[in-house]
Amino acid sequence: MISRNKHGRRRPHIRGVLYSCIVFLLVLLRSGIAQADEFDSTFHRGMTLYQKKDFEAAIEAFQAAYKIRQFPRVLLNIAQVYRKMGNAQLALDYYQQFIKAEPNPPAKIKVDVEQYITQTKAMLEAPSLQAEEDRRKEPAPNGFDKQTGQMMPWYVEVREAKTKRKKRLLIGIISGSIAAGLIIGVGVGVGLHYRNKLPDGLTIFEY
Amino acid sequence: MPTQASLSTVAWALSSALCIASCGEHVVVVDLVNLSAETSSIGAYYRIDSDSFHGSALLGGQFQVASPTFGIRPPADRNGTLAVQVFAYKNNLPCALNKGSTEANLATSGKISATAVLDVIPFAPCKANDAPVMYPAEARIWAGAANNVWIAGKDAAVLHWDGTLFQNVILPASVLGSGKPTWKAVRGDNQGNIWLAGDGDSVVRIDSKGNPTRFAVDFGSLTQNPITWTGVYADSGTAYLSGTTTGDAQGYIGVYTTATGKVTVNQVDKAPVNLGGNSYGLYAVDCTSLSDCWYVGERSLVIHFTGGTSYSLVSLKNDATCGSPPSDISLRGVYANPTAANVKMVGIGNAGSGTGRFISNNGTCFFANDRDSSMNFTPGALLGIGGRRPDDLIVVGTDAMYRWRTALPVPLTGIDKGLWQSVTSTPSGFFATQASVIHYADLPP
Repeated sequence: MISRNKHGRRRPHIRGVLYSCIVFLLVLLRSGIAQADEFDSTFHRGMTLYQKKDFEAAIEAFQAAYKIRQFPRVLLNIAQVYRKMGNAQLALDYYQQFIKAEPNPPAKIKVDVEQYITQTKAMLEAPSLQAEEDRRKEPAPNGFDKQTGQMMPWYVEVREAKTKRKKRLLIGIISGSIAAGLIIGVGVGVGLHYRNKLPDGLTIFEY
Repeated sequence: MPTQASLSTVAWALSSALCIASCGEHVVVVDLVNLSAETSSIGAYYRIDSDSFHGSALLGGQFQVASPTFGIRPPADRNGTLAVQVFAYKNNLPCALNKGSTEANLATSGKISATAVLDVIPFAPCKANDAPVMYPAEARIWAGAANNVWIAGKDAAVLHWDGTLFQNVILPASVLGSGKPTWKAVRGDNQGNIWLAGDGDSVVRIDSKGNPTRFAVDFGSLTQNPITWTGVYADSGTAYLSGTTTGDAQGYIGVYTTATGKVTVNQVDKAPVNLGGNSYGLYAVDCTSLSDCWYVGERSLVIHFTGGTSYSLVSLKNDATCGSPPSDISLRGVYANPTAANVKMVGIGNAGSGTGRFISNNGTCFFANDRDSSMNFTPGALLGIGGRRPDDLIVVGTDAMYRWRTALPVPLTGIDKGLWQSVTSTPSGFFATQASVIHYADLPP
């Protein structure tokens, strides 16, 4: 270590500290550059996966990128991917995280994000198609209370809806069949009528 | 899904069934192709499977020559194959202009279509033997008009042509007697009756309504073999018949009157005929009225009846010089005329074993001639004579026909060989019969 004395001479320890700082800064700089390279590659991988519609892998990539560098736009991308996947709740969480991380985004982005938030909230309020489908597939016994054996209120509705749908379908098929039968029958009848129509003034001999 | 399928099937079936029940009649509609534009009537014969043929006719106005069609309604409960034969005619003559046939399967319901493609047939002369009826063998023929022709022959067969159809007339056993007579003569009268005369004493009258009556033969005090009636003439309820007995060939004249209701028999050599000498068989009779009849038969026998009990023998001469009589001629046909000089006869020379003979009157006598207009002998027997006028007669015989006007008979060409044994005329032409053949030819004026 080098330091200066009172006569103005540099002291060897001060120079050492200075050198050390310089080296530290160089290492730090070197480290920052390496970190930026890793973020970029991870982020771009996420973008590529997103474009390939491999949304789950894209989310993993974006989350990995966000661990490397906490840029708010990464949150925005994650939110977008969740929205594309139909996961409104997670999408909304990430949109809100983005707003917190970036309270004053550019005006264009701000407007877009607000629209996205509105959409995802609407999605959350609407019944889930998937959930509805799952409910349809749900076996009947699951609609009964295990303890009382009574049909659960929600399942009553499901059953009634199913019954109504079946009735409507059956009535439609029967009505359609009868109508088709009548149309064909009338068509055949009319055809036979004209085929069997005897010429006017035909002399007929009785056998 | 089966429920829906069956429902639609039921609906379809119901609709179709309703339509079939109410929309179409079970009728075979026969379309004719190539019908001659000259057609004035169409005869149709039809039957199911092996039934007897039914016959129906379409007259003018019942069909359109451009698109001729007719229908046949089979019984509702009959299946099988309906066979149809069609003949197109003109001028009521039985010579088909076209003929064709078709068949229809009756298994299907509603209207059944069938098409008969007609062939063109040379019109005349023709053999009118195409229709699916029974043509009498050994047939005799008489035509009151082109649309009223009667043919009768062996086995009691009778066939009628009405201008559009041939129809067999089936006589009941009560009329035919013990067997099926062979009709030797057929002729109509002025009352619309048809008289049939044949072997076994058979005399039958079919009235204008088609009712047949057999008349008993009253032999009186005579006893002889059964008579084969060979000729008949009828007028106003009276009929005259010529006949010969089986075996001994004695000649008889029969007379039917409404008053007696039976045929009274007179032997030729006994009263009232009472000509003296032997009785020879009679083979034909023709009259112009009930008081002007000519009977002809074996051994040049010619009897002229002029009413009442007036019968006279007429002698024949060997040639126009009116000299000696001819060798025995078996006279087979006679054409009567109020003017005796216009009466003509035909027969076979040498007592039936020679060539044909034409007998005419030259104003002095009846004489025999054995040559035609080409001075050729006739090829065989001459068996029938008939015509529309005394100067326009047709003579038929073995392998030959002649048109006999004022000069010597002229052979008709294009005639089939065979035993032509009967002839009758209409204003437009003549019919002749041979075996089961009916021949018609126009006669120019």
